[in-house]
Amino acid sequence: MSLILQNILRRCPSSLINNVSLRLWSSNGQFPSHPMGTEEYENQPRKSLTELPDELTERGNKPEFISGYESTKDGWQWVDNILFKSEIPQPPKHATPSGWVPPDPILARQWPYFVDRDRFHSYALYVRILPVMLEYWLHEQHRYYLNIFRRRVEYDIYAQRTRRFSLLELISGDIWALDNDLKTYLTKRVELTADKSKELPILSQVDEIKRHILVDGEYEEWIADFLKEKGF
Amino acid sequence: MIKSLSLVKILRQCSIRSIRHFETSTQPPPFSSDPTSNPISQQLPLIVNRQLEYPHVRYPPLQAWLETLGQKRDEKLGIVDLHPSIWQTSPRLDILYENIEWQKTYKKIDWAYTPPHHEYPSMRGKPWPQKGTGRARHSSRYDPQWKGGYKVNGPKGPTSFFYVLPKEKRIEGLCTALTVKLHQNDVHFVDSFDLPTHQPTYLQELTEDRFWGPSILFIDDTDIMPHNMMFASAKTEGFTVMPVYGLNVYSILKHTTLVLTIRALNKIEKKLLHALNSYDTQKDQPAPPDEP
Repeated sequence: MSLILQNILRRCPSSLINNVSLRLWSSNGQFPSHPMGTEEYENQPRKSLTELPDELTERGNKPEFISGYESTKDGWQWVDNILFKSEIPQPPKHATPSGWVPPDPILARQWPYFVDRDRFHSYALYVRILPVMLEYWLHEQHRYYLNIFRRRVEYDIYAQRTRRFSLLELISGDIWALDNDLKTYLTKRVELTADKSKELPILSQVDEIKRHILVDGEYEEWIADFLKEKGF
Repeated sequence: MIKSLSLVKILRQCSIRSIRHFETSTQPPPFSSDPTSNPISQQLPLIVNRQLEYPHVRYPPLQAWLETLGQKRDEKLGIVDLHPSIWQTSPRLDILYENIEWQKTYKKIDWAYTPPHHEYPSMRGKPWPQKGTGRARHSSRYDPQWKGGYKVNGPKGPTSFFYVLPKEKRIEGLCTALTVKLHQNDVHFVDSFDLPTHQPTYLQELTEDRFWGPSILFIDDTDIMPHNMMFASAKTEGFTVMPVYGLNVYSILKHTTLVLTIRALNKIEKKLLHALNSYDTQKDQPAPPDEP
C-alpha cells in the first residue's frame, strides 16, 4: 500500500476501518465484495445441503426441481446392494451357465488327494509366465530329461513367445499320485487332439512344501476339466 | 478314565440332539456317570457343542480332549470339535519361517552411524610437508586410509527394518503353527483358568504329572486373568499367560505346550475363519471391537 494510505490508516480510528463497508482495496488482489468469510456470516446457523444460501439465488427465489422430490427412508436395499461387503456370498448348488461346477464331496473322498477351492469358490489354477531361457552344457546333451526339456523350450522359441506354465495350488494328501493322474490325463487329452505339433512331453514340477504342481504348458482348461471329473 | 471313555463313545453313537451346551448344562445326562467322588460338581462327560462356521468340504471336524486345571487328577471333561481349516492344514514350513523372520526383524533398528567427512574436524592442514620428511605424503589427518578417519560409504544413521508381512501369510503361519502343535500332542484345551489355590507349586506339580513340558503358553480370551493363575504363572519360570490378541507364531513354537481355554478357542476360530473365508480390503476392514 502507498505511504499516503498508510498515514491515513494510522490516523483513522480502528472501528471505522473494521466497518464492513469501509474495506480498503489492496493493489494486488481484491477484497471480497461479499460478507462470506467474515465472522458474523460464518457463525450463522448452518443450512442443509438442499437449501442454497439466499445470496446465491435471485433475491430469495429458491430453485425448483421440475419433477419435484420428497425425502424418505425407504429403499435402503438399493443402496445396500451397491455397498462393498466383506462377506462372500454362498454359490448355488447347481452348475451355472458360465461353466462353474460346485464341488462334489462324495466323489472327492475317493481319491488319496484333495484339491481345495479358494475363498471365492474357484479352482486355484494360475498362469506363470517366464522368459525363454535355453541354458545347458553341451557335454550334457545326452541326458534324457534335458532333451525333452529342450524340446519344450525350442517349441516356445519357435512360437516366439514366453514360457507358459500352469500352477495348481491348495493340494492336500498324496501329491505324487495327483501328479501321475494329471500327467496321464493330459497326455491322453493331447493324443485326442490328433495334432502332431502339440505332441510334446508333459513335464511337471511338484513342490511338497508349498503344496503346488507346476505343469509346463498352457493346460489350464484341461486341468479344470480334470478337476471337475474328480469332483474337486 | 476308561469308563468315561466308553461313556463318551456311547453318547456319540446316540442321536446328536441329546448333546447339551457346555455353558448351560444344568440337567443330568441321559447316562449317569460313575459315582466317584470328584471336586467337579457338574455331571460328566461333557461334550462341548461347538457350531463350526464354514464347514470344510472334505475333512470332518477334529476332536480333542477337554481337560481341567481345577483338580490335580487328570480327568477329561469331554470332547471338543476343531475346525480342519485351522487345525488340519498342510503345514507350510516356508511360511512359518517367514513369520518368524518377520517377528524378529520388524522391530530391528540398526543404530550404526559413521560420520561423513564434513562432520570431522577441519581438513585444512597437511599433517607434515609434502617433501623432506621420510614419511608418506598425506593431505589431511582424517582421510579414510588413516586410523580414526572418516568412512565414505559407511552406515548412516538409524536404519529400520520395519515391514508388514502380508495378511494371508500371517494367517497361514498361525494355522500351520497350530496344526503342527496339535498333531505333535502339544495342545491342551481347558475349560477355564480358575485354580483352587494361588500356590505356584500346585500348578507346577499338576503340569509335571501330566508331562506338559517345561514351558507352557496359557491363552485366555481377555487380558484380565484370575488372580490365582496370574500369581502362579508369575512365580514360575517358563509359564506365560497371554490373551488371544497376543497370539503369534514365535511364541507358539517357542513354548513347548499350548493351553487354550474354550473361550479363547472360540475367539481364535471366529477371527481366523472370518479372515480365511471373507475378503476385506484395507479400507473396509471391520472396526476393532470394544472388548480386547
